[in-house]
Order: sequence, then C-alpha cells, then structure tokens
Amino acid sequence: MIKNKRGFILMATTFITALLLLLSAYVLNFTLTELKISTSQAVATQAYYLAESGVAEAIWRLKNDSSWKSSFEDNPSWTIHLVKNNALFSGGSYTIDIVNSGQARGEITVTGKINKGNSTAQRVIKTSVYKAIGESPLADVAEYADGNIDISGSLLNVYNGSLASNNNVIINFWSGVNVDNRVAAGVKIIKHSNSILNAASTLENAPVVPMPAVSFDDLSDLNSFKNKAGSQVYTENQFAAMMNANHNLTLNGVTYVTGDITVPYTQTLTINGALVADKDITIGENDWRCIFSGRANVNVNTQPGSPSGIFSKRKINFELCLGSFNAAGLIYANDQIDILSVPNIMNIVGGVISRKLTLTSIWQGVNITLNEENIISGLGSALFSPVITVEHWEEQY
Amino acid sequence: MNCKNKKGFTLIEIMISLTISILLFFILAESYSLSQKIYFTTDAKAEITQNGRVILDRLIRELRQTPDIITDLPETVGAGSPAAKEIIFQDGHDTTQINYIRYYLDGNNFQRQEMFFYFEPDIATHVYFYATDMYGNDPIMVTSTAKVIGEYVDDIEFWGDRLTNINLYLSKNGQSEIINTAVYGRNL
Repeated sequence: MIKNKRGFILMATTFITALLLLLSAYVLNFTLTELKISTSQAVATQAYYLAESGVAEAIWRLKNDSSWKSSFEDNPSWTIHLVKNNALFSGGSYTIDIVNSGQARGEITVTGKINKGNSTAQRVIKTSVYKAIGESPLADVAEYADGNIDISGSLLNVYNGSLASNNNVIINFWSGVNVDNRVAAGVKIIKHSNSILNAASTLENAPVVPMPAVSFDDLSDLNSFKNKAGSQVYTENQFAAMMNANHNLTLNGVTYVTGDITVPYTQTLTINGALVADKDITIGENDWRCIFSGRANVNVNTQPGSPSGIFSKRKINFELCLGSFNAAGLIYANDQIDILSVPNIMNIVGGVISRKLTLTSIWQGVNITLNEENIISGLGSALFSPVITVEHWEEQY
Repeated sequence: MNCKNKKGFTLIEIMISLTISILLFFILAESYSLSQKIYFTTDAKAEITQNGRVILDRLIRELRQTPDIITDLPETVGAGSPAAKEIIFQDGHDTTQINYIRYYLDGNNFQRQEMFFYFEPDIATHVYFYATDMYGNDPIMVTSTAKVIGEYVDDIEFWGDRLTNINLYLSKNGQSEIINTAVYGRNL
C-alpha cells in the first residue's frame, strides 16, 4: 500500500505542474495575441488617417487645381490615378483614384499604406462627391436691367445668352446689337431704323423678372460682401491712397470700400476676386490729362472660392479716361451702369446686372459672354450651397 | 533501520525535487511577469490609439466644416516657421450665431473650448473676433470652461494653407504613437 500512496503524490504533483505550465503558456499566448492585435490596430489607425488625408487632398484638388476642377466638372467619364509616396511621413503612401459617373459627380477611392518592416498596413476609404451646379436666377440672361437698356451709337454683342429688361430696350443712333439668344423687354423694344438688331428671338411685354439681390454690408449675414472682405475693408480715402501709392495695384479676394471708388487715369487695377463699393464706382474719371498721361485699365479675374467682379451699391460709371476693361465675373450695380467710352473692346465673361444700362460709345463695342458660374458665385449669398458634398464614407480593410 | 526511516527521502531526492521546483517556479514567475508586461504594453497601445481616434474624429469633423481658421498656420514647416501648437476656428455647424472653437494642449490633456465675442451690452449678439464698434473698440471675449477630449498627448502640430496638416504625438507607459493626417475645410 505504501508504494501506491507514493505513486499518487507523484501523479498529483506532475498533474498540477503540467496544469500550471499549460495555464502559463495559455496566458502568455493570450497576451501575445492581444499585443499583435493592438499593434496592428495602432498601425491601422495611422493608415486610416493617412487615407483620410488623401481624401482631403483629392477634394482640395477638385476645388483648387484648375485641370482637376475642369475635368471633374465637364468630363462625365473622367478618371485619374495619383500615387503619392512618402506622404506625410516616410514609409507612408497613398493612391487617389477618382472615377466620374457623370458631370461633376464621381467616386474617390483612397488607399493608405504604411510599411513597417516586411508587413504592410492598409486602409481604403471610398467617398462620393458631387458639385451642385446651380442655376442663375436669370436663367440664360447675360445682360439684365430692371429699367431701360439704352444703347446709342454703340455695338453690343451678347454671346451664348440673352438680353432682358423689365422696361424698354432702346436701340438708336446707328447702333448694332447682336444677341445669340433672346431679347426680352417688359414693355417695348424700340429700335430706330438706323440701327441693327440681330437676335434668335425677340419678346415684348415679357413677364417681369425681379432683380437678384446682393448682400453688401449686412453684418448679420455671414455671406455679405463686407463680412467676406474680412480685414480688407477700406474707407474711400484709404483706398484712394492705396491706388495713389501703387499705380499697378493687384487686389486678391473681396475688397470692400465704404464710400466711392474712383479709378483715375494712369491707374491699372488687377482684381483677383471682387471689388465692392458702398457708393459709386467710376472707372477712368473724366480728365483731359489722360490724353497724354495714359488711361485707367482694369482686369478682373476669377478666384477659386471667392466671388469675382465689380459691385456697387449705387452706380458704376465708365468714363472718358477708360483704357481697357476685361472682366471674368459679374458687373453689378444697384442703380445705373453708364458706359460712356470704350476705346478698346470691353470683354465681360459672366454677366451684367443693374437697375438701368446706358451704353454710349462711338469707339469700340462691348462683348458680354454668358457664364452662369460667374453670375452665381457673384450673387453668392442668395444661392449659397456647399460646392462639394460628401455623400458616403466607407472604410475597407 | 526501521520502516519509518525507509519512508524518508535521501539527500539526492530532495535536491532533485528542489531543483525541479525552483526551475518550475522561475518558469511560472517569468511567464507571469512577461504576461504582465505585455498586458501593460497592449493596454497602453490600445489606449493611446483610442485617444488618438477620439481626438482626431472630433477635431476633423469640426475643422472640415469651419468657414474660417483664426490661428495663423504656417504654410510649410521649417526652421523659421514652426507649426502651430493650438488651433482656433469658427464653428461651421452652428450658423445661427458666430462662435469659435479652440483646441489646445494642457499638460498631456487635449482640450476643447468654446468662445465668442460681443459688444457691451448686447451679449446675445455675437460678432466676429476682428469686429470693432463705432468707437474702434475691440469686442469682449467670452470663453467656456475647457473640456478634456483626450489624454496621453505629448504634442500636437498644425500647419498648411487651407489643407490643414495635423501631427498628433501620443504616449503612455513607454509606448508612443504618431498619427499624421490632413483635413480640408470645405467652406474655406
């Protein structure tokens, strides 16, 4: 019996020892697996945020890179593949793929990869984007006046669009008016026999189209020009001094002047964005000295993310010392636009909106080419909608 | 020599069993301490990753919607232009009032604070931070109490023009992690 008892203790000891060893191996294995999971989770998080930054870059390019922007908006079957190595940090890379499913509508796929030793962590983010291409409240109207449009001794061409007045359209004194689409008058179209009018169609007693409003200085409106201008708000004298100090002045974004703006002779203004005045804007103020000293030249260019054009709360006058005027944007006056002299052909890509329009230029003509996008972004606040909307996010492993 | 004496162990038996016991004890102790160590590592890694996600998800969501970033961020980071350590931007989700949000680091805690500006006596009408009243005075700033969004943050960096780059440095119990990302404010 003694022998049997000894054997039992040995058995029991062996069994408990084996159990303890097994248990420790199990716990060790368990924690090691946990470690692997948390390590891969940490790298995966880094890969996810790397892919996120790729999406941010893609959307940024769709708004700011002119070739991406135009392809995205115009080509319904556009695709692009971009690889970025050592993105944000060494060892990190991402690829951006965009496949358009229609105009201004596409799917972005970004794959973020991180190489750690001989293993790779990868995350894929897919997102659909589209740009709401708004419509101008004036439809295809490029030249709009709430009151009369009065054209004397001048040439006016309206390309790709219409001309509309809520009152009379008057064409006299050997004028020529060529409009690609329609000429509409709320009352009458008065064309004198000495003048020429070419248009796809004409309409009298046309329904009244309300004048689109622009938010100038309403500080409670986040999208008013004065708020958009931010720190670029000047008094009349400050702005005059700026022009006087620099006869070749370039303005970026929205510039707001609380008072009149008078662009004198010899002044060249390049406006990348919008120039806005609380009162009148006069370009090429009448002054006989400009015959010898040079005239006022103004160029307006579009700026991504900003309205572009010239906006006056009262009148816009183009006077005798105007040299050249080329604008991509909206020319807007709450009151009258008076064009007195055009020594070089005036080109406007966008639209012209005012209470009245008076065009009296025996020199050269005015060309207005309809660009709805420029009109919409100029009217801005009334038609605000996010340019690019993210419809759907997805995370793949 | 009687039966009792026979039942005892010899010196060699005791030595062998002691050696085995000590060896076993060491194996068990070592595996226990290793498990413990790995557990703390795992815990720290998981916790800093989780904190990183929470911080970035909250920050990115609000930064993506902002119409205006107040903090002057350097376009690129170099010797002369260090990255910003905090960021203040306008709240883009609440369009009824002008509010600002500040994210900053306090020790190792990542904090979020709300702020707004007004002119006396109309505290209900919030104004832009750069607004001036008719006498040229700056507005009065009101800040809310800051709330901790995440812990274990060593450092945070912001830089870039409109495409805002974010570098987040986290660490706990000797474990560290860097998360880099970029966010584009769609309303900027």
